Amino acid sequence: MSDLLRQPPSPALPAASAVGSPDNVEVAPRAEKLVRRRAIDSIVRDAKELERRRIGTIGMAIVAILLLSHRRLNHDSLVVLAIETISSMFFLLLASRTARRAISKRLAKDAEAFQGVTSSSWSVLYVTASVAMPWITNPLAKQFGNGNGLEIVMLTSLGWGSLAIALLSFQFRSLSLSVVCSGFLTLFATFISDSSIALWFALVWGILCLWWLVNNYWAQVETAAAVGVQPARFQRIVFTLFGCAVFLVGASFVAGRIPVVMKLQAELMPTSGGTTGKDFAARRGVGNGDALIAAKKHATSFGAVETDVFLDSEQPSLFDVFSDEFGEPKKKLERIERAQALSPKNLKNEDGSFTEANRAASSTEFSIERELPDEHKPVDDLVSESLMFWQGEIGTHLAAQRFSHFDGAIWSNSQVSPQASTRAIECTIIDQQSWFGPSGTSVQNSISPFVDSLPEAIKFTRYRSPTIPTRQGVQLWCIDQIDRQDFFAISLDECLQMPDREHVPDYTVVRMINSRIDLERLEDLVRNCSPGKSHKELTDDCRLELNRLAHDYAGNLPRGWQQVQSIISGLRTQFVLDRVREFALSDPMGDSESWALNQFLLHRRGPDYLFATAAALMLDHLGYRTRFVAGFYANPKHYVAREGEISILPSDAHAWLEIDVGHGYWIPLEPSPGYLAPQYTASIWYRMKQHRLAIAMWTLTVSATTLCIYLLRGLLIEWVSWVAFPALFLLNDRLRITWLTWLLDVRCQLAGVPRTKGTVLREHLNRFRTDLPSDLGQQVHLYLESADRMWFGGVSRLSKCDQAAIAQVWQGLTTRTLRRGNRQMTERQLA
Amino acid sequence: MSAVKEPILISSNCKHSIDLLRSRLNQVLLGKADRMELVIACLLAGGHLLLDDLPGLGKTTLAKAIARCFGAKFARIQCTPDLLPTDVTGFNMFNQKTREFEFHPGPVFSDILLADEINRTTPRTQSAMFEAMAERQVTIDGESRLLSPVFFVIATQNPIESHGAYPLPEAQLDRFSMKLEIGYPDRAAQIAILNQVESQRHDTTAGGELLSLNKLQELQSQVQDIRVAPAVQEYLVELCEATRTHESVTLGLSPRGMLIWQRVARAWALLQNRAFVIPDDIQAVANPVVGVRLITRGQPASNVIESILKEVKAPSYR
Repeated sequence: MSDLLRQPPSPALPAASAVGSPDNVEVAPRAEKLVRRRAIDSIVRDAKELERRRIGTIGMAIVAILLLSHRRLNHDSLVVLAIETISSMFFLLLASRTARRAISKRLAKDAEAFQGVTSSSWSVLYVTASVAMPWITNPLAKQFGNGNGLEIVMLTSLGWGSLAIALLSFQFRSLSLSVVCSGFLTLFATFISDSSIALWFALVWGILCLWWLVNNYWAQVETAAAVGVQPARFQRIVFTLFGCAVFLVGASFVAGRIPVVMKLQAELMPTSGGTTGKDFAARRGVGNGDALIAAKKHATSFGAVETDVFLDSEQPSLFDVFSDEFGEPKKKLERIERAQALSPKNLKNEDGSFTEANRAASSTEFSIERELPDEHKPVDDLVSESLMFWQGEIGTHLAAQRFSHFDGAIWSNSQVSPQASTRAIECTIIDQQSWFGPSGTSVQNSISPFVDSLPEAIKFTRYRSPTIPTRQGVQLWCIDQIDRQDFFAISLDECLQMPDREHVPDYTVVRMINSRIDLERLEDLVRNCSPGKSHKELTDDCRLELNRLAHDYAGNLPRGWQQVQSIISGLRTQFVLDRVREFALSDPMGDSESWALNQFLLHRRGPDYLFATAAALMLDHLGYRTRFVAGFYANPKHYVAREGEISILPSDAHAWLEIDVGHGYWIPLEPSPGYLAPQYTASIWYRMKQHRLAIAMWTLTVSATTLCIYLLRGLLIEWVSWVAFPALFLLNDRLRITWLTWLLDVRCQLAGVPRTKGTVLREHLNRFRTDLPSDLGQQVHLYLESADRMWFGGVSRLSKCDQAAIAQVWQGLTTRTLRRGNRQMTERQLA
Repeated sequence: MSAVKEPILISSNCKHSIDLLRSRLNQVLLGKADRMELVIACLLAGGHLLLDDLPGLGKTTLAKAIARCFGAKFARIQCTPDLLPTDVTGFNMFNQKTREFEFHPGPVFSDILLADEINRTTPRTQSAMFEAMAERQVTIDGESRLLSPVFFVIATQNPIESHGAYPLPEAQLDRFSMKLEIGYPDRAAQIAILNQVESQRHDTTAGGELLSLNKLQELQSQVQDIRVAPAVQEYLVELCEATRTHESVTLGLSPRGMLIWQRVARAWALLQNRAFVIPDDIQAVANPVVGVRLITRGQPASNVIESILKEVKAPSYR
């Protein structure tokens, strides 16, 4: 940085030194004068050349910084980037100004003002601040979930350093150093960037650099000439164009022919390594990138990379997830009967077999009688703690298990007919990718409530279940490079699974084409669906209470979607979600059926699975067929902005219900408050029809309000002008006239004598002047005169008299006065 | 930010001169104060006036009165089909005694020229006045001769009798600053005229010189100093453009017409004792200034001008 502030070869320096004293000029020999003059010419020429080169160097540094900024936008927010850029530029400009001022003072030989190196020290300080700015903003950005790796911060500093050298350097070699720095930065940023736009930045930098080199060469040639030479602009352009052409031809020739480059493009790229942040440029490696599976040559191999940070983590099964979230299912107390004790050996075996059986049954059951769950530690990392990532709509309900039978305490599938078989899967090839979907009845047809096509995806990280959580209405799904149907199966409870596997392989990305639910069709279906057969068994007290609630909420409504919604709405508004369970849901005695449900109905609060159970039972009472669903909820709070996806954590385990709307279509319902209800779509016309009453009320209210405002507009305007009158004295003269003119135009309009656009105000008001009180007429005249003087006469300030006239016209020439004046004028004309 | 110029104030001397002139002319033509204002504006703007009216309404009286006010040299041409250009401009005649050509100046070498019934003379003679009106000089036998610096033409034409008339070409119309119709005086004015005649006090030549020609020149130069704000200039340009695009207009306003409009508006502002032009001034002189050079189809020029003034947004204090 030391050479940055050296004295420049400015034209002013030789001029000052060349003048000298008149005596010296007189006595100096002619040869000496010639030598001095030649030296002066040389310095002047160098100074000009330096400034010329500086412009190109600054341009290259800016291009390099822009390129890096473009790359950084992947991780940094625009605000952080803008703050850093503005701060750094501010310090650089400050440094430049300080340095130039110091040098100009030195040149002026103002030793007193210059005072040593004070100014230079400030410049160095400013440059240091500019270069250090990325190191200040990056930690701050990381606090807000943004920020970059150290290498990017270093590169950013390098960019600012390059610009600082270009701005402040007064030596040719320093400028060359700046070019080298910006060149390195451009090269590095281009290589680490995935965006094709980076290549354009690199191209611009290359052209600038080429022009800079050609320019430097020809400048040297011209300098070496014995006599004055015309600037070789034409040669410069030709050489630059030639260089560009050679580069483009060469690039197109070697493109795609260098094996190493191809390999680099296809496979290995640097990663951030070691941090929790992920780099988009890291096409393979740590992270959960879409193409991770595709990286493998053999699609059957799903192994994670060795360095994956998740391998050390606990990987819970679906059962574990539900148990952790909702608590362990309560074990029924063994009936104590007289019995002969078994031998310790047999007892041990009994325990073991019991535990195994319990776990095995858990996948087909969901008990609502559960122990209190363990206290969870707060999640501090949405990425590494997540079971999977959901790329799709927020608030989506992803079903993992469905249960259609309830025995008062446990939801199960035991009542499913043994003859029922899993649905077949058919394969469709689209764009060389095998897509799978359920065979038979298509998801979307003329009566189906499912419409539209939503491309969504789910990425698994530490999920331990063979079930692929899906939303209702999935049309197609695929996994990259998987083309065998037997990789998938649809279970009896209509959940998508990867059979014969312990769990869905880590880092699997399942793409789906899902559907939206059309509200109009849904209502038709619900209205016409036949009552289902109840599969619920319940104690009398619970049943009575649920039936009462069902009638309270929707008893007076006809069968249909509105009735269903009323039940759901009643639960969502009248009950409180309490996952922490401030009261015991477990029967202390352990001998009461539906204890948890009883407590839920008694306290009007409880966990989500009790909401789902209660809703299912109420709807069941009203004749709708329902089933209990356990799965995951795409919580909007867990949205990872950087990835544009939702992290599904163990805490997102959730229970809801589905209702049978006929023809084999099931629609999810969300009875738990705090969870987004499934989104429905409908035409604008249908929505308007549905909300016709609200729209009518709104229209009526707005119309009535508008009518009132319209009828009372005169009073309102006068009131507003009266309230605003004191503020008139705060305005300058011009604004006073402007606002008064606006007010008079409004008042004229309200008085029924609007001013046409071609009519000047003077002419318009003169019609009333004779019918106004003489004093007010005089004030109007003064106001018009003063306004003319200010607007067209070039007067900048009004007299006190004019200001007073403006105030009086503001207050006096009201709508009523104008209306009266107009009436008198009309009467006079008629007379 | 550029400093705002304070306006030039109208001197009391100037105001007094204008009041005298106005008073005298209003005594000559009774009940036509509004027309007299326009005539004075035309005179102060250094333009020429075309009076399009019936005979006997005081056109000649007006011209003579103006000449008398300034003690100016007055000349009158009664235009007939046999009037020759040399009868207007003058001619060189060979003097047998001196053996030299002598120049005999025509009526254009006066200060105030009344060209009565100008549409009765041939286009050739009408054209002879082109140079005189536009450049205040005439070229006779290749020699240019300057006219009076305050040369003011009042031309009249009779709109009724079209037989044997040569309508003025557009080029010549464009050289007039404005066209006025004096019209019949109202009842009170007519009684006043009768009373003046009865008392033998109605003498058109009554009253001596009010102001000198130098004073007239001074007033004319004062008009050039009247300020026209950019907003007013933009308004003027918009009006001119509107005349060119109006559906009922065959020939709109030329840039020369626009300049004349601005000059007359300045003179009008001076007559209102104002040192700056306001949009009202532009509108006030629009009819006589634009009407003389606007060629319309289907409806009279005054209607077109009125509609244009209504359509184009006037600058306001906002």
